[in-house]
Amino acid sequence: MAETVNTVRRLRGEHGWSQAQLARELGVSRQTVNAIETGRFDPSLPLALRIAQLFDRQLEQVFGLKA
Amino acid sequence: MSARLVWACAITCMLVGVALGVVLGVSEGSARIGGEVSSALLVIAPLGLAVNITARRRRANRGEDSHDSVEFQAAVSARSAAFGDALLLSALAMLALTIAPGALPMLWALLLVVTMVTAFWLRYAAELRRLRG
Repeated sequence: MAETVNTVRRLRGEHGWSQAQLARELGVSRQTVNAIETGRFDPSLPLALRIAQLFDRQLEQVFGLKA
Repeated sequence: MSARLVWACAITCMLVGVALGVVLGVSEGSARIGGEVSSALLVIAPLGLAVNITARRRRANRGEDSHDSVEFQAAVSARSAAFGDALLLSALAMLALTIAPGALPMLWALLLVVTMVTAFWLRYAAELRRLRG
């Protein structure tokens, strides 16, 4: 299966949010945010869309396939 | 219902259960057995319910009950794997009962349940560790 990459950590940093704050906004646990950022966990499509929406980005700008 | 009220209700029920056990413990025959069963139910059921409610609320507060969380995904994965374990363990238990028919079926059933629950929690912990890192 193709590996994915994401810019969640960078975008979160730009917004000055902690993992806990982002987790609260998304309605998931802090560990979930950490797992997504480190690439250990691929979020579901609805969660990925919520993340992109929260950062006001297109989905492809946040998530993509590793080259 | 607040957590304090939940635990107050549970503790009250448990105290009633213990009191019932003490009062009916001195009686004889079926009244004693009925008293012991009622007493045990009045202690175990509210305690289990209170622990369950508290754990659910804690998970909800941490966002761990969300279907998108790693905890939920780990639980789904562990449940799926534990189902395979349960089939294998049941077959082994039946085989063991066939080989040693004299063994207590109740003991085997208890051992089977404990092993299946343990298998689930081990798989859940391993999956969660893998996802959380």
